[in-house]
Amino acid sequence: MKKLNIFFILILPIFFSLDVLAEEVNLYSARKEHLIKPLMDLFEKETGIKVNIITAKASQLHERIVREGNNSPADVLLTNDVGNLWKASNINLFQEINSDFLSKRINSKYRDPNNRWFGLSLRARIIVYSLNRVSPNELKGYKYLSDPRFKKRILIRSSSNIYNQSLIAHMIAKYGEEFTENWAKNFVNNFARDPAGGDRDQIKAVAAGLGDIAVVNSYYIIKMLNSDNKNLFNNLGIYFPRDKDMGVHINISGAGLLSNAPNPINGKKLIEFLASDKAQKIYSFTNFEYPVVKNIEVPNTLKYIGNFKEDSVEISEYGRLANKAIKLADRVGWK
Amino acid sequence: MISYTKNSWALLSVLLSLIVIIPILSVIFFFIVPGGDTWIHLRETVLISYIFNSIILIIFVSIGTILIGVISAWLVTMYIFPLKKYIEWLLFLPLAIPSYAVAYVYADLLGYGGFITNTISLIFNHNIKSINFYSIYGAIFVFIFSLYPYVYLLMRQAFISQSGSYTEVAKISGLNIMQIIFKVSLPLGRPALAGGVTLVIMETLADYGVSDYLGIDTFTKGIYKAWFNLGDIASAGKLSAILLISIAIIITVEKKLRGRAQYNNEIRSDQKYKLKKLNRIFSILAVITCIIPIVIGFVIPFIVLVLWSLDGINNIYSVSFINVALSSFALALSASVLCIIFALIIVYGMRTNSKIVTPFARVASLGYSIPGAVAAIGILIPLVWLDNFINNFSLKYFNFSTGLIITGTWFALLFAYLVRFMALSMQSVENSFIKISKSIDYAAKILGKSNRRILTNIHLKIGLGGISLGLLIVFVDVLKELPATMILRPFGLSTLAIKAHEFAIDDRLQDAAAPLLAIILVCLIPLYFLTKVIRQ
Repeated sequence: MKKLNIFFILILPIFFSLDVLAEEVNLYSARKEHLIKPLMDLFEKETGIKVNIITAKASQLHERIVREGNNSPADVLLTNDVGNLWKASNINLFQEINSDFLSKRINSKYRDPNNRWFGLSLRARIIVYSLNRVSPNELKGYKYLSDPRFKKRILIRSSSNIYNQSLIAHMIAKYGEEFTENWAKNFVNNFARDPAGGDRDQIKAVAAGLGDIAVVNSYYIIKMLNSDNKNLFNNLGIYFPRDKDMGVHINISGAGLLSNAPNPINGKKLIEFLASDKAQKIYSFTNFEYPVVKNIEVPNTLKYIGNFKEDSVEISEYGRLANKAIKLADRVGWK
Repeated sequence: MISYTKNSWALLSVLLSLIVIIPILSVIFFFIVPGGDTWIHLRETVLISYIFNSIILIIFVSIGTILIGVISAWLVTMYIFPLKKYIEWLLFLPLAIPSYAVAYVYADLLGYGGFITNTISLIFNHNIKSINFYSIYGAIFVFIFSLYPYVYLLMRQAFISQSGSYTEVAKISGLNIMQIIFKVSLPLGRPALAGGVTLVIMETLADYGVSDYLGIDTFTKGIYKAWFNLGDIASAGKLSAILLISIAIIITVEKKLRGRAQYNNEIRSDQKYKLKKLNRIFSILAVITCIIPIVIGFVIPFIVLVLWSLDGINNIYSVSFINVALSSFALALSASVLCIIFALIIVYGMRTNSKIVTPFARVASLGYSIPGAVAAIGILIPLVWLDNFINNFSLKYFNFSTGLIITGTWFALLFAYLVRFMALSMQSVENSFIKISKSIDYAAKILGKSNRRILTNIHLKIGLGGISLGLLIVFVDVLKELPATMILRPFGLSTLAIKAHEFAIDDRLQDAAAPLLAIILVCLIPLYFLTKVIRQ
């Protein structure tokens, strides 16, 4: 009897804690904490719902959610690319969200056809080139980067990065696997050095003269042009790749509500909040990404380089073709 | 009665080893999951070059760390020269800077607009814009100068505890100094050397951060690719198994080569080495030799970090920063104590019942070579299983769902550190127990002392130096640990390593510098106590 009493005393706090913790939402975020924190603080202030965050790489959070199974505490998964959203919805980790607010504000091409995930910001994979060594009329679409004229001139990060995987997947969707593989072979031959470092390192390498052309995400160069070191980069130009077949490769950062979310209502509120005017503005002003919602105020730099022709391929294709893209890159020796 | 206590201790050791082994096995056993064609794809495309790179890395990193570690340990234990008192402890400090941070620092110094490139351009009046650090040479450089302290610390401990009588005998027999080193001191210190190098190799193989940043495709990258990019658990399990088996083979072969030699001090005398005072020229040489690794591995990165942090000082660090530092400290402290307790029990178990305990103990220490992120998932599996078991039990009998009450808590993190860092604590404890003659154990047994009493009254006291060294190493490694902490941590918990990493990959090195400096400062606390213990 005594033992039973002790057991109940030990169990008791769990009951209490569950009651107290009613108004909260649990966020698994692939976006770094210092980037997401200002948004979450605002959400907490406006709704009174406490946001619990852990951050890690999307693929690793994915794995944690899978392992945690039915009892996972995660409500919302936030990622920096569509590939990981697609992967999660493909194994039914996400539930459908019925929200007129989200459907109205977010263009259907930036969300799942069944509303299981939503894009929240846009980024373009673009070309940064040396104004001294490249003439703008040399540049066309991605397809032409395999041209031998660019031998030893191109800088790009490793194919183990999801941004490149999505780009390759996009090319496969556009031109087919065989063409893309050939293209990638020649593209790799044009590399100025073995891929290393992140997107910023490629930009710095162009500035240092190690190569002439870097393929990078738009916000990196915009951030650098807004930094204290901007004079280091005034010999650089920006080009949005396009040709008659293919426009600019756009990726999203986005979120989905997990099927086993313990706080689904709060999770939905959080995603809706991230698509609100205020949050969208924070996205573009702090990280220089393009808002997914139309007519949001953006920083001047973003306005200046904001006009581009986007490609027509559905972005969920990037996820569907990701594994093919990774294997293709291995075959052609893209490190 | 004696055999009963003997067996119960062995049983306890095996049990503790098993706790550590389960997550390792749960990773490996994924290879029985059907499917897994990624394995074939990798084998046909990139695996050979991944393996080749890993082998090159471990060969050169081993050579480099042995040279630096052994020479500096020899100098500081055998000779008296100026500044030695400081050098002795400064040689440890590179361990306090995460290797990926060292990579960032040197890539920046040698990169576009970096200090070194600018200086070279200025001095030689030749416009060099950057020097390519993104190569396997860069990676070897980083690993050598951030990992040599493992060899140094264990060798220093070994040299210190070697009885001075050996060298005296050698000297009387007319051996010169080189002969003494190669014929007496090094062979006597072989277990420590092997231990230190094993740690270096395991850490190099488990690394992802440095090689990913510098663009080196290693075996670990293959595991990451299979699991986290291609979602092929079976292949990732296979690759992890290959990695672990290779490590196990290396360790076993080394042990076999060592043969039946015993390394305990049968000659116990209070006679320490008579420290030799070096003349001026040799003093300068000794100081320079010891200072080079300190400067490259610690001073330069430290200065760069300080400069960066001054740039970032306008981003005021608030209460949350102190909280992060405190939780990092608490995690590191509790994990290191836990690891040492496990190691003490298991290693003592190996002494009393070597045949049964040793195989389990060896497997338990393999966790150090598993890449952190992979180990983290391996840990989740048994924890969630246990959680679900509790949950179902509670649902059945109390109609109440407990959810996941262990996963995503401090407990899970501590468990992760235990799995990852057992090798560190076991290596240090083993290294300090090996010196204790077994005749002492027998004598104590005859006097009727229990195993527990022998361990706490004799081994703990004689081996205190090595044991506190183990505490320190685990402490520092937990402070730096990144992938497992990120994946397994509870909501709201952040560590200095995570803060630094998140800023660093966002290219905000000025902001990353402050948490990195804090890691170094926190490391100084146990280091201070260690110096006191070892001086005694």
